[in-house]
Amino acid sequence: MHPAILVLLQVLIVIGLSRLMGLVCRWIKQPLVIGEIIAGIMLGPSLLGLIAPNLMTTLFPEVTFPYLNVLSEIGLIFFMFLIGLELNPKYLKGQLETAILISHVSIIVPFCLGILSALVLYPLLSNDTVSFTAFSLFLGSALSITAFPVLARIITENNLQGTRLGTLALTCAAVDDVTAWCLLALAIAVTRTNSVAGAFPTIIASLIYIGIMVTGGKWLLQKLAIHYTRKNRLSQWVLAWIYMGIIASALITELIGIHLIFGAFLVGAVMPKQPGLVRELAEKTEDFVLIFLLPVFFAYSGLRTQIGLLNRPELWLLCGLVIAVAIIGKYVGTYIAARVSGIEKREASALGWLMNTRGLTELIVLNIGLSFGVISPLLFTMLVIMALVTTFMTSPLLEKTYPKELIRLDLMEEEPLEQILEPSTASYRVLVPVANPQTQKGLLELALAISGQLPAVVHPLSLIELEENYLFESTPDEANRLIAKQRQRLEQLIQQLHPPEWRTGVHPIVRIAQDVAQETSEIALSEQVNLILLGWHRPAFSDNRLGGRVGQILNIAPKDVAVFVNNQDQPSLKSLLVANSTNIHDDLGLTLALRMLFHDPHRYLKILSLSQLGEGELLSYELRTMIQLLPESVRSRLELLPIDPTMEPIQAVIEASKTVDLTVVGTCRTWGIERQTLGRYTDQLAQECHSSLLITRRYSEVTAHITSLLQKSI
Amino acid sequence: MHHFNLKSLTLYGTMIGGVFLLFKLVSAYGENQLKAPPKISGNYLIQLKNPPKCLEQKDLMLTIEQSGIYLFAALFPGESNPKTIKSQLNGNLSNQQFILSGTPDQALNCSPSFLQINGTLNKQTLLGQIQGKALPNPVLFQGSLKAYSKSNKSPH
Repeated sequence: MHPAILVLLQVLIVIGLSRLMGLVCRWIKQPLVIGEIIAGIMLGPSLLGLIAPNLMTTLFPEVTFPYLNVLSEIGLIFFMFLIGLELNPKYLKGQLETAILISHVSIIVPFCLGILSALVLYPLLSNDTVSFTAFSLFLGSALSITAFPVLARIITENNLQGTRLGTLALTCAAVDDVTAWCLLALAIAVTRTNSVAGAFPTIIASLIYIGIMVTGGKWLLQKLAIHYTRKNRLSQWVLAWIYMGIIASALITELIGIHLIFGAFLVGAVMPKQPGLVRELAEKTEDFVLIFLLPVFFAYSGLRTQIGLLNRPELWLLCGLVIAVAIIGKYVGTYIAARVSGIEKREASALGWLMNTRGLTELIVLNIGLSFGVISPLLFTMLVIMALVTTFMTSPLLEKTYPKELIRLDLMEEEPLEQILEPSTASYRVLVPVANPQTQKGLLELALAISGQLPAVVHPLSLIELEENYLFESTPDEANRLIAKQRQRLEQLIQQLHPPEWRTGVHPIVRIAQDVAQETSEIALSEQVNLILLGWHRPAFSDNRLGGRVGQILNIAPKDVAVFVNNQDQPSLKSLLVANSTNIHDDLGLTLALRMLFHDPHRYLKILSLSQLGEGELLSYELRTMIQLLPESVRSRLELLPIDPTMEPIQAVIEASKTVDLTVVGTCRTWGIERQTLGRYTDQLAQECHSSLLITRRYSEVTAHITSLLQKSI
Repeated sequence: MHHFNLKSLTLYGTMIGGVFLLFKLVSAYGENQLKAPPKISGNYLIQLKNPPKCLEQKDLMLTIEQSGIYLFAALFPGESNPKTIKSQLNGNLSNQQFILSGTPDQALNCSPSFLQINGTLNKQTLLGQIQGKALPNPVLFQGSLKAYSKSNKSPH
């Protein structure tokens, strides 16, 4: 097979496996990039080469390496452009002095440790074609890297971008990144000429070029920004010029003697950061680069990673040494610098762990080092393992040091109105996950009807799930923009609610979330809500009303839940029907309906009771007593009726629903609605009900004591 | 820039100066005192003196991959299909002396297949002996460098 054709097959496999491993990583709550790095390693001698060496040499023969190399170089160039694009000087304002101190120390300490460890590693792992200077410089740079894109994503996913810790970490990482790339440029220059003195012309040339780019290049690109603002669209013509500029810049830096990637990075960095332009540019470039080209880079890197080389205990010890030096250097350096700047212990520790992330950026540096022969395959593999380990440990350690509850207490800017007006002693709270603000007005009105006005509070909740791409959308800027946009839509919705005086009790929550059901549950707990009110969405693949997202929340959230099936266009909630069969879920429905009675003097409630008690009583003792306690004005709008014993309960309710606006039932078999377990249940009532339907499920704390031991939940 | 007062500038200046000094010292020490092992990686054509039956092949090849003092090698007949070579020899390099031990390619029918190769590197030639349970006496060999391994080719 012609190598070029074989390369296509390779790319097919690489993309597929990368996506698969990405899913696995998402599941274990790790950044996507780890999955892609591992996918690359799996296809190389470390795994595939071990279990099926013939397959590996057939699929990835050495003759295809140059082709893969070309693809990965192109991917890297455009990826570095995107990184430069993301670097917004806006991040550097605020806490600048602290950030500069911390980021400098967080580079200096690992760099020095790296140079010192070169004293140990050089005689063991290098050969005499490489000068000690080049080796130590490279090792030092490699250990001082912090991966900015991966860090940005971890911060956004944990909703830290508004906090002091988040902005500090991002600023430090940005400064770190730029400094580390400069160090790397120096290391490459020294390596090529094999001495520091010989590198001076290269260094001077680079500085001149940077100067030209920052002044002349920026001026040129400003014109572009103006052109864009006028046209409000990025045409292919303009994009072509930009791409040509990126490649030209890359070639120039290659000619100067530092690597291709710096030229591309520079173009991204000096691009004017006009939000629309940047977003469109990022959107047009990202998909192909991240899906197609970058995984090829990881695969190419993985083909050179040979974990099998570490076949002796002493080698694993050396690997451990490298990892230890890397972690200690970054963590201790950052921690001390942060403490000296006056940051408290917990935040400083979290910052230390965040700065420890090395991920993808490290791999770029290592591959360059390997191509130049500065580091040997064994050291390369050790450092790849180090990169994986350090990136892997960030998320769990961050969670441990700085749990989510503390994050909320540390917001940088005040969240609009939410913090100020919200009474911490709300009498009743309803959490309403709102997927699409346009269609959920009825849901919010129901929530208001249930809660009432202040001091009861309704929280419309909007969770934004980030797409898998880890560049532009995960930058704090963009994340904040999405949050602001969603908040605005929610505000518009709130302004349409009636009665107007009750709107002050509605406080939206907008967050970024990785796992919507989990996050909803956590918010329900931390806000101590009394009720979660969900709207029913027609799931795409089944008729299971309690399946999908709704079902997930039902399963996870340890709170009372009500699901609203809206069958009317303009739901009014004047006449209510409650079907009661002395079951805890039905009881919840009744109490919610009673709340609604309180809040509107024109509301009427009919209780249809399936009497299963003796003595002809229609309601349980508890409910009877409660109703006795109601004021006369409320009790007078209450009507209690038995179900006609000749009729099927479900039919009776369907019949009765013809004359009401809202029917309330609990999740029990009597009404044909089983609590969703494994997605099987019947929903005849939900389909045939004439009015809107509210399905209530009580979270039983009594049974919760045993649920973990049972196979099926109750 | 106005908040860059003298104190911070002095601090940063000292820090960077300190690092620079450390780097100078360490690299001076490293360049002068530390010796990295010589480059031994490559493909060597092995010629044997009095080869035993099982090693009586023309074109015996020894490929060595080097990571510092750690060597990873393969011994196989020259005409082997690169895809099917299964040979694993590990060893160390110390000054100019090296030791490799492990199993050569199956195409070489030596059993038990465990071999040990001791040798010296002299410029681009290897000189030494091969020992093993399958060999009655140690066999002397000479290896001449045919080509460098690909991993050392710098594309720039």
